[in-house]
Amino acid sequence: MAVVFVRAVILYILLIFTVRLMGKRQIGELQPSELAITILISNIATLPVEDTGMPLLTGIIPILTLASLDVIMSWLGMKSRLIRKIMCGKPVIIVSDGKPDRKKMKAIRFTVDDLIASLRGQGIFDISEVQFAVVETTGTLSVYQKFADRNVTNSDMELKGKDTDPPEVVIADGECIPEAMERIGITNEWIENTLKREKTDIKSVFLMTVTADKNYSIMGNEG
Amino acid sequence: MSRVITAFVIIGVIMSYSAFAAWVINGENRELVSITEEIAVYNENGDTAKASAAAERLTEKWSRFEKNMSVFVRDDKLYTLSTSVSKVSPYISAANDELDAELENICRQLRLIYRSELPVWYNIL
Repeated sequence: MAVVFVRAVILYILLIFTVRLMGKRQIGELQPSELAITILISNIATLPVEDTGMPLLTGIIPILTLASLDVIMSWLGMKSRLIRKIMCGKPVIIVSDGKPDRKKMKAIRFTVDDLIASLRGQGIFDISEVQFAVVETTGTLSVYQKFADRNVTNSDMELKGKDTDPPEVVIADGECIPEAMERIGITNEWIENTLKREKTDIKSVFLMTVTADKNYSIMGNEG
Repeated sequence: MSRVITAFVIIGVIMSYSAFAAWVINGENRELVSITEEIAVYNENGDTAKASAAAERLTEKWSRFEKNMSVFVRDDKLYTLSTSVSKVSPYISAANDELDAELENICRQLRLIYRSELPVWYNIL
């Protein structure tokens, strides 16, 4: 039993390392090859835990190999459009000029029901609102609505404003986040002075956000 | 970029490790095969004392080899060999006819373990 436990701990650490090595991606954003590799890795990881007669290395080696190859292929994909096309395929335009392209939909086995469901997922319940739609390589549908149905933007309204980054979380659960402070150019001293002005201290702050203009908002622990 | 470098390093380490594993298995196997063949010669010449001494060496060497090999080789393969090795000494003492067959079996199994580590087409496929 202890062997199984130790093996499980080792594989847990290995899987965390592997996932970090492969980089941040949400399940829905995975390319088909990445999804297959993720499933394969999770299957391989269970084998040496279940079978203690199998050397742990026979699980570790394929996991690391698959993850490394995935990283190397992604890197090669960044360098070459051809490799990217081979590995990920290319987006397919299934609605153009407001008309669904049945030939292309058939080619990628995308039914009308799939199209309608994907549109509903984006809050579009009437297909006549769609000007252009693309099935991305990850399988998600990107939609460009007709002019009459698009949301009004600030530029449409000719509203003036500054382009600023969103506020950064500089204190979370009573702890400063140095990277965020560095990004918006504030120091520990600035935080201490600000908190002093607000008659509080770092430990009593649940959340503090600061914008590039040094506007801040503080939520205390008691709130 | 650091991820790509790490990936290349991992692939390099795995390839080196695989070569190292094959080299270790080959080295240890040769020793065991030579002791096994030695036993066969002594047995053929009727020198039971020398055959028994060699059998003891084989058992001793095998215990160390088995531990090291369990890192690279599946336990069931090692178990078969372990059973064969444990029969050698009693067979010599009892002048059992099956000794030659058992020694041949040990040599074959050892060679099989080494061959199964080689990245050749019949192992890959």
